Amino acid sequence: MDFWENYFQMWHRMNWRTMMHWGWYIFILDIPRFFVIEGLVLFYSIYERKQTSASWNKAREMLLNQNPLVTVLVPGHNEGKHLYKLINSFKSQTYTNMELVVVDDGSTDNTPLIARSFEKKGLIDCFIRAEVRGGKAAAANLGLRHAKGRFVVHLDADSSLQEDAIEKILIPFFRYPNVGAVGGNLRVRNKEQSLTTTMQFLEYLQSINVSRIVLSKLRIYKMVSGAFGAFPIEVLHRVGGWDIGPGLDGDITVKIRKINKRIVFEEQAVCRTHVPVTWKALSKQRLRWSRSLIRFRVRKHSDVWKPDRNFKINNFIAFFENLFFSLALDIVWVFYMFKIIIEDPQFLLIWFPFKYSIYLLMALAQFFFALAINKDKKNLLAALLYVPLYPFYMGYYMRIVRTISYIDEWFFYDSYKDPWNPPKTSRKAREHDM
Amino acid sequence: MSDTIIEKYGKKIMLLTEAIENGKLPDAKAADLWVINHTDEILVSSFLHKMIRSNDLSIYLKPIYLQKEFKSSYKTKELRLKYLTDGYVTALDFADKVPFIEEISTFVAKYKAKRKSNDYQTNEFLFLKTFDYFYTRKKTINPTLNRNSLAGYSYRRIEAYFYHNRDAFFTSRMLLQEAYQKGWLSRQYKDTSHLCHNCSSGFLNYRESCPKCGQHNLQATAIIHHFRCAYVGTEKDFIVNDKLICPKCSAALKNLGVDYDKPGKTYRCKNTTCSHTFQEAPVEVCCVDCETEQAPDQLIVKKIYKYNITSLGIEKGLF
Repeated sequence: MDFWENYFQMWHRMNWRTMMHWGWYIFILDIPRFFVIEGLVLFYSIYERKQTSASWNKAREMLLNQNPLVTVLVPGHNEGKHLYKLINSFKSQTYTNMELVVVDDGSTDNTPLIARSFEKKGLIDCFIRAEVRGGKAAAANLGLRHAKGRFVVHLDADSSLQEDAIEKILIPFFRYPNVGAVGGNLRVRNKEQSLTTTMQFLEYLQSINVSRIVLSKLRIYKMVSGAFGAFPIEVLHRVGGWDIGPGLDGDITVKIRKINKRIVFEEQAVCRTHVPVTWKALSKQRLRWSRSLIRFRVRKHSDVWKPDRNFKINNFIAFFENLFFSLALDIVWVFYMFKIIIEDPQFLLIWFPFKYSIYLLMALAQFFFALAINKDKKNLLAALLYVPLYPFYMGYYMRIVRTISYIDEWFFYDSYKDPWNPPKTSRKAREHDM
Repeated sequence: MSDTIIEKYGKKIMLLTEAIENGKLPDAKAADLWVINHTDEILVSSFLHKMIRSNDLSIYLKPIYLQKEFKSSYKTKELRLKYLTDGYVTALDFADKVPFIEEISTFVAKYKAKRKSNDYQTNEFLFLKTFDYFYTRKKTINPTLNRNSLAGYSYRRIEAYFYHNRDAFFTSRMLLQEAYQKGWLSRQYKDTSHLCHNCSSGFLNYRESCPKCGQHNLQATAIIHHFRCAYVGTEKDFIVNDKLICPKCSAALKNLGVDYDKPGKTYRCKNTTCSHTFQEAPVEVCCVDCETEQAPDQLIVKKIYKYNITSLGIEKGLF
């Protein structure tokens, strides 16, 4: 009883002045961005999609009439064990005019053995192995060099496609003019494996499914995930394929944006992907992803910020939104964290439950957004129990990982030391500021 | 007209000219040894074959020599006349061969009656004929590389019994195999050969083929990875005026291992309707003689042996 009494007391003691003093960013930035704008645009987008269903059907018909060859490109390192599943999901696609190109980036396990046996059976159309590891970008480019399709779908080996995923990811090319890339919707495949994966399941629903619909609608979507994305081959050739990562998928999307192509997110093209199971593995992955924000958004593509004749407001806003809501807000968050500890640690006891309540409400709202636009509601509702943990996951865990990563990259250029890339390429990338 | 006979060291030597010209075997009794006195190697070869094919012990065992003076005329390597004779003599000097010639005469006198048969084509007779020669010559039955034989190796003396290449190959091997199984011959490993599974020919053409369309017109190229911009392509993509220039970032590739490396190699099928790219090209074998296409694992693997006459064989040959 005491707890609830204290809890309601807190609400009494809170007034606008205190709220704005300590948490202005919640009310000015977080709520408008993640609740108001997101909600409005999301539902507008769903509404509009229904209204234009005739155009979508027409686009689908165009795709099926033209029936272009599609190259499904799967670069990987030691991914042989996933190939059987991948091939199965490839074979059951509704779209059939496809070739499967698998690139083995210097695997040290039995990947070449497995892949060659599939190649012999005709289940892989083209298998190419680099005897020495060259990194993900090199592997993707090697595959691109041997792709024959009009469209290239980039896929991670450990993901599996929904039956109509290839068909759905291609339709936007026929629905809108000048589309340079289409990002697919990612769903966590192993959500039951651990708490880590369950939290990522919730995160993907919000930050990929919902958020990308909104960003795409606002024309500031700038990140076609490497796990599942489609490109017209001539666009890939024009931008010279992939550059050295980590974060090569975000990088190539920016390159495509720079040549004035539109990037579209297609929520109906669903790919189920395997996410890290342990907190350690997840942290490692996110450290890598976050470093690319500094490396690419701030450094390599710094021209996006400059108001010269190549300046494009869309790209600027896309970058700004990205940097502001990740980097700037993190700094603000850290700043207020310390401020409150130093100035009024007693207040934390009130402030913390208050802030949590607000973020919980927002998490629930976002969860229901996702629920509203998803068909397999049963699957989603099973995760409802974990939504109360979501504010901790996003508000603390992710923030801390991100902040460490930004500092690392900003001051120490740690992404160039990441063994994710072979040292020979990192050295050259650093030398030439790639 | 018949060929000249001269006497030397108490032996009658027949200088074969007419006989070779006419392709007729002379009378064995007329001389103790024969010396080839003709420069046309084709005629000589066919004469020697005729002689070896003879079923008359006194003819097929007759000591016969080539003359060193004519050696330069016997140029065709494939004929290898040496293997069908007892070798060369210089200036008709065979002083050191007299005991051998006498040995042969004795052997012929002793066994002539026993080498009569109703059917000279039985393996039994062919073995005796072979025995007679290799026993009196104290030689090993040694196969030699021979481009003209079916399988690449031939037992010259034995194969000379037969008229056709195929016959020579199969029957000679059967003969030796049988004699080995009966314990008349012992054998030692000499080499291994791969032969067409259809016709046992050893003249095979090996080439890499496209696993998709089966054609052999392939282009092998190295893959180049330019580290700086992560472009990866075939060597051809980079070559500009004898230099390596990256097609993506236009930088020159200078140091292998520093700027770039070659992480592998690919084949591209040059059949325009296929153009398949792959790295493991299956090898296919085509038999030059019968044109049968086959995979290397379909080829017949044959071991090649040299043979020696065993004591059991000697017993058999000498009764």
